[in-house]
Amino acid sequence: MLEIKNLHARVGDKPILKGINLSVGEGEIHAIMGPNGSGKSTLSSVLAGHTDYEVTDGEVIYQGENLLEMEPEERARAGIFLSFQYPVEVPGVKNIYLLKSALNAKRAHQGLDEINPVEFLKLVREKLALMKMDEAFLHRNINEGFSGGEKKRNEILQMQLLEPTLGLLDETDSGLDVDALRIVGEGINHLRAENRSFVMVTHYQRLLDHVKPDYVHVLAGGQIRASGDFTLAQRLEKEGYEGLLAEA
Amino acid sequence: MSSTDTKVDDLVDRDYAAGFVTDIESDTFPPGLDESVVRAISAKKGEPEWMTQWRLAAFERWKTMTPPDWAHLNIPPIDYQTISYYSAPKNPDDAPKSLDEVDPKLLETYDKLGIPLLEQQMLAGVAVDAVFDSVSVVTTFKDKLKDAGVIFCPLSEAVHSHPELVKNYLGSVVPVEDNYFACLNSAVFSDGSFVYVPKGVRCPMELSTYFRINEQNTGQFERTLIICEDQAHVSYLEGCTAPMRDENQLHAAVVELVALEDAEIKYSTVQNWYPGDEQGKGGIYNFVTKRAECRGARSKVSWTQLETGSAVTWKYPSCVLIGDDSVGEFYSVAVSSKKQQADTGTKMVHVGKNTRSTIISKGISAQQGQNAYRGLVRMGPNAENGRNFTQCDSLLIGDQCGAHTFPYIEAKNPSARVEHEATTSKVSDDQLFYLRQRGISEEDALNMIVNGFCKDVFQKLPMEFAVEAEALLGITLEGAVG
Amino acid sequence: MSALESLISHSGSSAEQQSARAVLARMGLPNRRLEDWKYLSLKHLENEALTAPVADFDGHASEYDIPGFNAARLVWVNGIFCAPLSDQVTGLTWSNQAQDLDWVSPELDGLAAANRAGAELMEIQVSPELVMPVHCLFLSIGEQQAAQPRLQWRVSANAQLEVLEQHAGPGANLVNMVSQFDLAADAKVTRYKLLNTTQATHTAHTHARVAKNADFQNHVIDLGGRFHRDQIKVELSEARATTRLNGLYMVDGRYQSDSHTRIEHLVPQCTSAQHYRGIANGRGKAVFNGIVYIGKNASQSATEQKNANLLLSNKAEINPKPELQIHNDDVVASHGSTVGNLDDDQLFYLRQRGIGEDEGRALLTFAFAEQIAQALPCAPLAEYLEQRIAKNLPMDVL
Repeated sequence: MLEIKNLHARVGDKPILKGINLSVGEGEIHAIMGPNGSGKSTLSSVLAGHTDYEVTDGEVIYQGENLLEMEPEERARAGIFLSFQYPVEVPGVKNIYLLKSALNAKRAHQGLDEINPVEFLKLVREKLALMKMDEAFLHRNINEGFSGGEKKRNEILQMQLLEPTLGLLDETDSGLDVDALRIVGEGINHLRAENRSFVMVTHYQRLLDHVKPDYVHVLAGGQIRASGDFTLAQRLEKEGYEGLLAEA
Repeated sequence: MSSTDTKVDDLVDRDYAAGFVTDIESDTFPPGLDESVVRAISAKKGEPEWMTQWRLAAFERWKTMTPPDWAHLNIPPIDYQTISYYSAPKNPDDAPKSLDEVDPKLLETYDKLGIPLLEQQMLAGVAVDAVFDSVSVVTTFKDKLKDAGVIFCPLSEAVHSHPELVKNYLGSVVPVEDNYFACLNSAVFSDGSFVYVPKGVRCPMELSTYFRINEQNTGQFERTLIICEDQAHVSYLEGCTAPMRDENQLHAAVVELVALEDAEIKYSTVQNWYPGDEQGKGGIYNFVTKRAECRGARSKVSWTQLETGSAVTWKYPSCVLIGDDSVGEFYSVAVSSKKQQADTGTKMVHVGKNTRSTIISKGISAQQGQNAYRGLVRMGPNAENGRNFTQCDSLLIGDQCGAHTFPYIEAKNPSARVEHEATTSKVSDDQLFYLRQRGISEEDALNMIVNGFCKDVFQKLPMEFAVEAEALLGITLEGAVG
Repeated sequence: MSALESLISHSGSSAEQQSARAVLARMGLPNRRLEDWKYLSLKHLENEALTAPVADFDGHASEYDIPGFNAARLVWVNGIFCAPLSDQVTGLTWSNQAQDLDWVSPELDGLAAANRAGAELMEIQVSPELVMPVHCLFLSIGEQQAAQPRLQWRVSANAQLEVLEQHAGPGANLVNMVSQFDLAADAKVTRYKLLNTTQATHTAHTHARVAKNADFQNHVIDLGGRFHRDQIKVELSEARATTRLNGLYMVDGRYQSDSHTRIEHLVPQCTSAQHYRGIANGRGKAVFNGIVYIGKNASQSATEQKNANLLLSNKAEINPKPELQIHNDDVVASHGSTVGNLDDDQLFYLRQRGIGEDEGRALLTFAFAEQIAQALPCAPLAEYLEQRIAKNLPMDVL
């Protein structure tokens, strides 16, 4: 589904990704772990097409197409969803408007008609219940005045609705208390499917206890330094990054 | 607030330590200004003809101009014919023979500021020729500068020694006709500093720290010109934390800075002129035009100032950001108490692409002081991706003072971004009480609050100056509480 | 003949009008040499002769109704009050015999003088019996007429007035208006001013004086026109008076919008707030000048001023100037002003959700203006405004 080959990227003059290779198959969950400043958030931003980052080398093939040539919204419509580490506040735009526009943009891309309002509302209510969110939430401005936990739940709610093919979860566990973490974890698990993959970027193991990854990669200095299964995450928890990287 | 008020009044009732009067020197022109006076000034200085003509052209222009009039500056009209436009350097015979003859309160202030004995003597006007040591100190530094290729001399000297540089740059940043006071200065300027840092040279020392004493008597119409060639750096310090002894009531200085490619100029000012008595009488009127042109790409100019003196201050150090990626900064603390009026601020004129400017202005008003920030940020049509951030805070101590903010923003480029923020607050009894409850004296508590308020700006001063600035602020507000 | 000469010749005959006429002749119309007129001017009127207004309208005033806003309608055509088109409503009485408060003094500027010299004063009394909103419709019909309405609202103690002042119509006239609001203790006024004329030159002076516990709210919506200038001064003259001034100005094409506010805190314990937003596109020009004055006696004052501007085009121009003049230390005061383009992070967030770049821009622009619409305490008007803002944008975002 996703092939990353020798990916180099920089922000301004500063190189951050220095040759990433990663292959994600259908239905797989990959966890990217790494110390602060290792480039893990950059990776998800580059995959989503953030304009602050410049790709200097390498390629990314997504479902047989050159991902790097696509505009951010084209990537989104092709099924790539980024759950932001710091979801942006957009005062003046209501959540429900975003949900509806985003869903319809995707449907148009798939050659479907706009969703009818009644069906839309039914669908949204269903997802809200799943994320244990109140309906009043739909009429608030996007992320404005939300707590950290509410913002992250909002991200997963949007993901539920848009049903992406590839979910990029950037530090989704940060800023969540135990209950919120469980709800978010359930939200992600609920989406697990044979044709849907996830790349979860995280510093700690705590989200991985709720969402078991198939593969774990350790990113440091802009490169993947170690790969393995879930036991690698457990080793990291015990030995810390320094210990594990010294060994690698 | 009543407790604070009383204390502030106590402070004000202390007479200005340096406010002694000296007899007017004999070698002084009679009051009045006409063409012959301008010619006479030029002749006194033995200037070449081109300089004389330049002055005369400025004088012709000045005659056609009218003084500015602002709603928030309350200035009695100045009669320009009652002012004398030239006074020769002081006769050493009239000066105090030693520090024993100097007002002990003044010496106390110097001590609090930690000013070395040698400098104390000079500041207090003790005859300089008695102090041989200083000459050698000065000479040592002059040699060092010469080795580096830096020209640092009085402007009057540069007119003779480097006429081409002066001709090229004088009036090129602040045109003669720029404003009323700049024009007057152009006609009658007394003297000032000339600095030229050649290409690639980083000036080996802070200029003027060791020379400020020599910069005395540059008179009321000071004129400074600093030129930094490509990749050159200089840090220039003007003024003095110690109270300035000066009998000229009207001061109209002009400062011009030119920064070429990758050049950097840091200009720091600490001004502590006589503010006048309780009625605001006798204080100095300070009308200064300071402007920098960042002509080269990636050039940078920083203005940092602490203003505590003068009866009326009118001063807007500005940056014209012409070169792409050039940077302008303005950090200012202005204190006005008694009946002082400070009208200061800056202009950041963004011309080139990716130009950035930062303005941090802290105004402190006590007693009947009036403090105004007047600023202009202009994003010209070609200032692609220009950025400005302005933070403009006022602190009020007592209920008779005033704080005013007049920020002009002119935006003509959609990719540029301008942000202006301002707050006004007072030193609250709650804050004072909180600190006192922790065992801090009321005076220290006030100092702590005020210094905290000014911290962002003091951090930008050269280290040595910063320490003096903090001490000066403490002294200025001394007695404001307990 | 210039506009100035025409305005002088249209002066009325009373002693006050004749003296205002002399002031007008002395000062002339404002020009850019005046600090308050630094950026935009009335130069286009220099060679425009203006005729006396004629109330000639054969349409239906109801065309200009705001859906869902049920109000008593008062109609002016080219500044002339049209009783036959207007509703009678309990709690509202008007007369043209009243003494002029003269708060907007002829000495203020040439426009104030012109209005005083040429206008007929109409005083509207508001009593606590008034329960219905009022819709004042000012139609501009025809061209080169000098419409100069002069209104004086007397809002008695405990009365509540909710008034929509709508300027509409295709006319290319000068509409030079003066409004004076006198709020007695505990009165409340909520005024919406909707500038919906594209061809008219609109200039207005509003002066409100707010007594004890009274509240004056003003929401100005300038949807863009040839020249719109709105100048308002609010005096908080007794304890616990409050005011809020909100505004939205949107200019495109060669439209010009000039907003000036001045709030004076004259006594202790008053609060004020301002929130103005502007969008400039095309070759549009906008000015915001907001002054808050806190007098010596005005302890325990609180004031807040927000101003945000979107500059969307290379040829457009915005000049904000938020001013604070503070003479008392027992004050909580802040202001902020920004100018910039749309936020890149917000745009990326929307694009990541699959929304196209153009639509994202339109949406964010809408959202920017929407914050003023949302703050309107009148749902039908807010909805109407949202539709109007959306209409001005290149995309359907509602």
